[in-house]
Parts: sequence; structure tokens; C-alpha cells
Amino acid sequence: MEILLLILLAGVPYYLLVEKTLGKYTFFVSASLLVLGLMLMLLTGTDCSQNKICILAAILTSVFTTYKALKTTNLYKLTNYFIFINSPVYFLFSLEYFIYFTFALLITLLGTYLIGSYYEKNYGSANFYGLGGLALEAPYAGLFLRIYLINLALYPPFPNAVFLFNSMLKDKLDLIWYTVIIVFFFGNFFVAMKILTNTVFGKSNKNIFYVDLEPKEKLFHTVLNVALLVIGIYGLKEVLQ
Amino acid sequence: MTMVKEKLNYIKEVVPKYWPIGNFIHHNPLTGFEKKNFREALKLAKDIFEANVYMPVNYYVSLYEDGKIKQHILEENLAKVLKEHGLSEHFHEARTFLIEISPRWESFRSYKLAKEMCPDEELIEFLKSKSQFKDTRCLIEHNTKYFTLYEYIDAIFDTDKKELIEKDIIEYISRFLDQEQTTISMYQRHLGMFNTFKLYEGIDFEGTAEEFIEDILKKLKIKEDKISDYFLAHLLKQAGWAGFIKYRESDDYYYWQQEYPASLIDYLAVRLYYEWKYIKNEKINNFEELEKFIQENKEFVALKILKYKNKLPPKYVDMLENGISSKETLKKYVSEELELDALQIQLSKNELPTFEGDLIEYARFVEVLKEEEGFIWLKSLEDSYIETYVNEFFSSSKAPKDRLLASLVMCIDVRSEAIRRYMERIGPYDTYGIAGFLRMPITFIEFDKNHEQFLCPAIIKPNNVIFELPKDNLEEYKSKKGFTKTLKKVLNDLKNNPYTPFITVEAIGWLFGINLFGKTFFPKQVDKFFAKFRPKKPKTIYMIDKLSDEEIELFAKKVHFKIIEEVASNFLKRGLTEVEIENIWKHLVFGESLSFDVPKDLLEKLKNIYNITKEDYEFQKRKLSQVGFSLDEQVMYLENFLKTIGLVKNFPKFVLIVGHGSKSDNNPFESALDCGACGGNVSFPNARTMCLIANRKEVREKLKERGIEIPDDVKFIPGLHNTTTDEITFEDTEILTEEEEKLFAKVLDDIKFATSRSREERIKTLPYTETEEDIFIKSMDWSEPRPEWGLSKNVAAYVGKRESLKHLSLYNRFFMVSYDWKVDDEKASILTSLFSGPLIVGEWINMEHYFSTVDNEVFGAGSKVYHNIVSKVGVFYGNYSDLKIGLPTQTVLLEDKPYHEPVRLIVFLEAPLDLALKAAQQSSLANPVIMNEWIRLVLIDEKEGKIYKLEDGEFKLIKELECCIV
Repeated sequence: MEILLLILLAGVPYYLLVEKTLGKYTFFVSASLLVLGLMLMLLTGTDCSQNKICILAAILTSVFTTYKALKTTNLYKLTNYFIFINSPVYFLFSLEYFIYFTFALLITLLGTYLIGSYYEKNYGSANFYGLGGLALEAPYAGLFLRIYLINLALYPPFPNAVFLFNSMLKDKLDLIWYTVIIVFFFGNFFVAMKILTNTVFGKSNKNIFYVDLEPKEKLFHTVLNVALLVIGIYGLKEVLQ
Repeated sequence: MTMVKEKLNYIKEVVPKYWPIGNFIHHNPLTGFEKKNFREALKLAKDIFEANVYMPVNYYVSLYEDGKIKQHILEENLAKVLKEHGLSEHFHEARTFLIEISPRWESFRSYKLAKEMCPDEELIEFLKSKSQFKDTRCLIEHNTKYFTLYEYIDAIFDTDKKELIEKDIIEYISRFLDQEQTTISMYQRHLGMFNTFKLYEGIDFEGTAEEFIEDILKKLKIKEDKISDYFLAHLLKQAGWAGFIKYRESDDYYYWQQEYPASLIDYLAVRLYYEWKYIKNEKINNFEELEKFIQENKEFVALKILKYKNKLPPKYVDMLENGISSKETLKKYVSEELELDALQIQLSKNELPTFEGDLIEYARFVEVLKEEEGFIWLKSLEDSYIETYVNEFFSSSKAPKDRLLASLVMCIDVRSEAIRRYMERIGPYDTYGIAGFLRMPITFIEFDKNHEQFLCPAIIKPNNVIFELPKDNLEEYKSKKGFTKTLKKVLNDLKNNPYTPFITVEAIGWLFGINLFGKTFFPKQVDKFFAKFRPKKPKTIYMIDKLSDEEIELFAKKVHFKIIEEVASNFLKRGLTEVEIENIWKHLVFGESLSFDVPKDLLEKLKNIYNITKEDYEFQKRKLSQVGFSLDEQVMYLENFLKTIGLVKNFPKFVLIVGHGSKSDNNPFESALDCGACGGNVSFPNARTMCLIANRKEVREKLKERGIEIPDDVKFIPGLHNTTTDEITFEDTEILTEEEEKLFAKVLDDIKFATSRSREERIKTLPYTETEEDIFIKSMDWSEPRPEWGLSKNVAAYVGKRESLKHLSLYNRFFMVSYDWKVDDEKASILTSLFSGPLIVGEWINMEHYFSTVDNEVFGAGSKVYHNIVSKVGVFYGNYSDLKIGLPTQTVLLEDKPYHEPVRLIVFLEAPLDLALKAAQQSSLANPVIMNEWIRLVLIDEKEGKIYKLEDGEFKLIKELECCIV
């Protein structure tokens, strides 16, 4: 069961294989497998927090994925990579936090993915290389992407950070936890900040005609943000308890 | 001349000079292009600097919709350009294109629309033949103009050499050029920039900077004909720093340049050294290797360069990332770009159904319009202003018959307009405008300051020195000054010592909190409180008379004697008699023999370190001979001043000469708000000097012989206009009699009223300002990025009689220069000097505002919020960047929209045509500016009753005057 979970949650080694064939849809496959893994854990009540091999493999996946994420500027690829940058915590979190964290993460990544598709529709690809200054040129797209990235970069009181810090407060921390925190925290932070500085902020590109989100897209992102807000409030309540 | 110098001289002009921020000189960033016609120069500058040179079309269209740009004028200018290009038959379509299609031009180039339409093959072929996409080589060359080798490497191999190289360069030059911002200065700077650099980097090279450059150029294997361009490429990478070094190099009087010489050649040597240092171990480390690589990988290089320049659309970046063949990727990219270009033309043509002609003809038509539209709009805006003002200028107002109470002489600066207008409207006053240095260039040495201020336009070097000396008891001043000086020193020592900052912060950090919170929340009260501790400057006098030859000798000797006394006493451990000092001095200066034993070491020290030499003695005498003015000079300057403004008879009771300066807190750009005609300084000393001269009996007597009689009861009083708060204060009023004091009190009351009205006017345009009180707070608030609008929104200069525009409210948008051509001589001497001084200063101010508005990123200084002061010479972003030239966004923009209206300075000149032509020919500085249309000259020839506009090198009649001007 633990090996199966390792495959589902940490993507070892499938995500490298499917990335080229599935292209931009890889994220949905990875996300579905993550949810499947989550359900399996729920049904079987498996606890991997003591399985050091699993956690070590997940840490290696996370480090490797961070490296890959820093090498690309494609939002589709990045949404997929974020799932695996976070893989060690799936094994360490308590089941309840794992559920909330996964929901918050997937909602955020879905939002980021949709911004990627907005890029593709208007600028020809989900690659943000050279597409700086979104906050000024397309304020709505810039705002939503900023919220998703701040959440991914683990800024409190956004839900991802809240659940992480909650777990750190409630669990007994050991060397593995510390290692995971370092890898997980810096991985998320650097990758999210890289996107933030390169596309949301930075100079706008004079060669590109910027277009903002359409009303339907704005509405959908607002719904995602409300969902994130609700999960965030729940997380804060947990902290206060 | 060496090869390096020759190549550098060829391109040096392109780099704009940058003056140190302490004496901010407004200047045209394209001064080097002024020999070319404005329109052509801008095309060239756009290409070199990769900058916008006109505002976006939307901006002009909104002015057109608001009625500021007049329809018939736009049509005239458009028709003229179309005629030049043989496109007159498409006039109506061109007008629609400019107003309706061009603002949406980019929206026609859409990936989304491209999927739905089919581009015309013939059009694509046509566009290809005209564009960078002709072939891969052309594409590479088009995108690598002014590329350095390290940029090629960065682009091709995804490295960060540029970052490393520029950082190292900035670190070195900012430390070398430091003007005592740091506490630990760079060692051995007196050796010069290149020699110090050799020590800094441990370079073992015996030759000069030029030889060093030649050496590296050989290593880089640059072709001879490309060297000039390569130098330019390097200088443009940090144009601000290059501009500052260029300024230093050109100013022999600049103290820091005298002490620590630097030159553009040295700077290039530094740049090339670092370039070579970081690329020498690379696979490609010279241009021959690069050429070989490009030949073998043309498509790959083209794609990488496009990516580096952010021109490659994201999906091709994906293709590069995914390892798809470069040939295929580039082919797709080129064909898609051409398709998009073609569709953009097709789609826009659909909106012009009346256009008769095929797509290719339409493409040519669009090409012309896109190239010329900026100029058409700009000229139309200027012409609209010209038409409006020309029709409004003249009124039937006549000079008053009764004697006036006072004449207010202010700087031509636009900020004096409102005060002048209100003064004229409320009482028996008239006003005059003259460049703040009053045509009297002086070097001013302020009381208790050690440095010289050149109070004249930056293009002039003064020959007279004015010292300010205390008149009052200095006790109180000295005690307060001593206290603040000691306090500052202690704090600085605590701050800069490596061991104490932490303890300092812990122990007394809270004291700074008072200042921090106080200045933020209660700026007025805090300013008042701290004013009590500031030493108050005592009453002073100016030394305006020349020293006699004996006095000069005596003072020059005294300087040397004092040095000898101090040095020798320390050296010999005993006091020296006056005879002994004189004996040493005569030995060192005149080579006379010594009458007593003096150690050789002491003599060497005095000679070599303290410069007690004949040359220095002569130098001191020469300097001292520049102090003050001879009587003839005083008369000459006063006569020039009065004739320039046209005040030669009917003198009022008081002539108030008002200089100006600004006051703000935490504002590195403060001197940009001071007087431009005084080299970015406060112009009060010129006003005071002129008043001291004008109040002298012997000067008036001599002036009378020259035909200008100033009645005895006329008093000249100097004043200072604080442009931030619009307060005017006066000095030297003690010369007034009791009777005069009463009259003067009335003048002061009226001035108070006028300044208050001026503030009320300014409240309407200054953001977050609702009351007059807010204006005062702005001058004390350290978080205020915009204490005043300064010279923003300047649009024109009026050179002529005040009567012609007295009835108009010009809202601080005009430089108002008083000039009466009837007072000028046949040689147009006064007008020539106005062209060479105020006109050039006005043009520089105007062009600085123009370019800082049209492209603040390239020609401006960006936002003040990110500025840090560097080396006390300027500001840069963060902890290292190029030196920011030009004006900050807060000066020209309001909430990201232009507040300043970028147009060329429209100069309305009241003078006969022949006189104006004579002056323009005589002024070598102004001639290219006028003839190449960097200003718009409108000539009002009242003698002939005609108004002309200078266009395409000709004076074109634009209006006949119905009646002659008063």
C-alpha cells in the first residue's frame, strides 16, 4: 500500500514519463492520482508518517521537481510540478490536514492552470517568458495569479501556509520534519516567487498586446478565491483552537 | 590623435552629459543630436536608444477629442506629410487612420483573430521583402545593434555575464567617483580612474588606458570599422554613468575632477577589462569565434537572441525548451509573424472601405503613417497652441501715466507668472522677467561654506567672485553651529565605526524615533521645534568691489604665510618669527637665499605637499583679482540688466529684484527646482549683488553718462521667492527711510496677497492639497515625493513686452522674458545674449521634460520611491544600477498619466525679422536649436505688422496684425 501511495502521491516515477505524451493535461492526471491516493489513505487508514523510505523518496522527488520547476517558464508544467514539490507533506500531515491542504493546493493550482490557459489563448502559449508586467497591463489576471502564487509561496494567512504551520505546531518535530520543512518551504517559495517576479511584476513587454480576463473567467477565478478563503478561515479557526 | 580617441570622438556626442544632482542642470538628453533637424534626429535617437520619442497615439487622440488639437491644423499637417510621400489622394483615409484606427492598431494583431482569417500571400511576400524577416542574417543583425560580446554569450548560452560585469563596473566607478558619501574612500584615487583601477584589480600593465583598450580590442578581434559602434554599445549600457564621466571630463573647474581625474577612455578601459575577464574562458571569447558559431547555427542564434530581447512569443520559447529543431521553430515563427503583420494590415483595411488601392499600396500607406504619426500629432498640438495664443496676445492695455510704486523683477521661470499677474492686477506695479543670473555670471562663496557656486547657466563660466562676509556678532551663530557640528560628528562616528552601530541603535535609537514620527505626523510642529536649534545665519555683506593690487598681494602672501607658520612650527617644534616666515616664503617663491638653517625635508614638504611655489602664488593672485567688480564692470552689468528688461526710464519708487529657490525635505532632486539659469542654485545672490550695485551713487552717476538716469529716490531691494511655498522675503531693507518703510509695507501687503492667490491657483493642480496650509506642509514633509510641480507643464516662452500678454492668465506655463527691441542696438546684442543664455536654458528645461515624459524609463529617472543616493553624484535604483538621468516620474506624471504636456518650447519673440535673423546667426549656441526646430519660433514683427512661424528653415507668414502692438 505504501509503495502504491508513493507512486500516486509522489509521482515516482511516472510523471517524467507522461509529461511528454500528455503535454498540458499532465496536471489533471497528477491531480487525479493525488486525489485517488488521498481516498485510498482515507479508506485504508494508512499512515506513512513513520515510513522513512517513503518520506525520503518524496523529499528527493520534491528536490528534483524544484530543480525542474526552476528551469521552466511554462505555467502548465509548473502547476504539475507544484504537486510534486509538495509531496513530502502528504506523507507527514495528519489525514485531516492532508485533506484540507490537498483541496487548497488543488484549487490554487487549478486557478494557476486556468491563468495558463488564459496565456495560451491570448499570447499563444502558457509560457510566461518575456511576459512581464501583468499586474499593470492586465490587472485582473495579475491579481488572481498573485493570490495563487502568494498562497503557493506559503504566506500566512493563506490556507497552504496555515495548514503547514498548524501541523508544525501540533506534531512532534524530528529531523525528517525539519528537512521536509526546508525542502518544502524553499521549493514552494522560490518557484512561486520566480513566477511572481517574472510575469506578475517586472517590465511590461512592448512587443505584446496585453488582454485582460474575460468576465466569465473573472467570475470563475472569484469562485476559486472564495473557496480558498473558506478553507483559509477554517484553517485559522484550527490555529486559534 | 590615437585610434581609440578618434573612434570615441566619433560617437561621444550621442551620450548625453549628466551634471551632479547637487547642481541639477536641466538639459536636453539629445544635445548631441541638435545639429540634425528635430524630426530626423528623433528617428535616429529612437533607433539608438530603443526608446519612445513621441507620446502614444491614444494620448494625442484624447487631446484631439478635447479640442486641444484643432482639426484644421491636424489636417494641414497631415496633408503636408502625405504630399511629401506622394500620398495626397488618400487624405481622408489617412485622417480616419490617425484618429480611429491607429489607437487600436495593436488590437488588429491578435493570435485569436489570426486563427479565423486567411492572410494574403502577396502581401506576406511584400512585407517579408521590407522587414527584418528577409533572411536569418538580417534578423540577427536587426536585433543585435549595439550588442556587446557578453550579451551575445548571455543570449546564446543563457548565462548571466551581463549581471556580473555591470555589477563589477558599477561597484568600481561608484567608489572611484564618490564625493565623500562613504567614510572609507578608495585608495590612491588621485592617480586617475585607470591607474587606480590597475591597483584595484592588480593589473600588471605599463601603458596608457588607450593602449590597454587597444590590447583588449585585439583579443576580442573586433573589425576596425566596428570599433566606434562597439564603444557606443558599451557606453549605452550605463548611459547615466557614462554621461556623468563625460560631464566631469569636460569641466576643468570641477573640484572632484581636478582631484581624481576620470575620462570616458578610462571608463571604457574598465568596461572592456571586465568584459574580457568574464568571457576569456568561454568557448566563444572573440568576434571571430562568434561569427563562426553564428554561421553554423544561424537559426538557433536568431531564436536565442529574440528570446533574450523578449521578442520571441511564448509558444516558441516552449518549442526551444522542448528541443524542437531551431530551423523548424524559426520558420514557424517567421511565417506566423508575417501572417500576423499581414492580417493586421488586412483587418485595418477592412475598416477603411474607401481606400482605393490594393493591399500592398495600403501597406505602404500604413508604413508612412506609422512612421510619421508621432510628429504629425506633436506638430499639430504645438501649432494649435500657437494659433490660440497668437490670437489672444495683444490687448489695448497702455503703459500707466503715473509713477509706479514698485517694479517686480523676477526670474523668467514659469513659476513667477501667477505672482506677477496678481501683482499687476492689484496695484501700481509692473513686472519684468529676466534669467535669474541677471546677465551677471558670478562665482559665489557663501558665508561659512567652503565651496564655490557658479551662479549662471551651465554653458557660461563666470569671471567675478563674490564673497559673503558676516556683518553681525557671530557669537550665537558660532555656539549653535559648534553644538550641531559636534552632535553630527558624534552621531556619524558612532554610526560608521564598525563596533558601535548596534549599541548606538540600542541606546539612542529612540531619539531618531521622535524625528521619524514627528516629521511624519506633525511636520510643521517638528520643523518649528528643530528650527530653534539650527544656527541662524548672521547679517552679511557682499564683497562687490575689486581688491587693490596691494591688497591682492597681501592676501596671497597671507595664505602662504599661514601655511608656512603652521607646518614649520609643527616640524621644528618651535614658533617662527615673521622675518623667518618671510625668509622661507621668499626662498620658496622667488628662490632667494635663506638666512637661517631650514631642514631640506621641511622645504620639500612645503613645496610639494603644500604647494608654496611661485606658480601657486601667481594663481592665488589671479583668483584674488577676480574678487568683486571694477566700477566699470558694475556699470556695465547694471546697464545690461536694465536694457535687457527694457527698464531705462520712468523708474518706480522701488525696484524689487527677486531671485528664487525651493525648499523641500528628503529630496535629492531639490536643486532641479532651483534656478536653472543659475546652474541649479538659488539665484538670490545675483539679485542682492545687482541691488547693491544699483544703489551705489557712483554707479548711477556713470550710468547717467550712458543715458540711463535712475532718480536718487529709487531703491533696489533684493528678495527671494520660495517656489514651493510661494513666499517672498526681502533683505537689505535697512537702507529705507522711515517714509519709504511705510510705502514698502504697502508693497509687502500686496505681495502677500498676490502670493496667496498664486498658492490658491496651485492648490487646484497639486494632488492631496486642499488648503494653503497643505502647501507649506509639503515643503517640510519628508515623505512628500512632489513638493511642487516645478517647471512641469511648461509650454512656451514669451520674449517681448509684458503689455502684450498682461491680460492673460497663463497658469505658470510660460517663461516670460522681458525684451524691448527698441532698446536693443543694431547688432541685436541684447537679443543675441538672450538667445545664447535664457533661450538655451529654456530649451534644455523643456526638452528634459519632454523626453522624461515620452520615455521615462530611458530618458527619465523613474520613480523616486526606489531611488538611493550614490556617491553624492546622483541616484540609482536599489543597491546598484545605472545612474538615473532626467526627471523622476513624480515630476512629469500624475497617477501614471502625463501631467506635463510634452511639446517643444514655443518661443514667441517680439522683434523685427532682420534683427531676429541677425541674433540667430550670431549665436552659435542657439543657431542649430532654432534652425533645426528644437524650439518652435514665432516671430511677432510689429514694425512690419506681421507674425511669422519658422518652419522648414523659412519664416512663414501666419498672420497680419490689424494694428500695431503697443
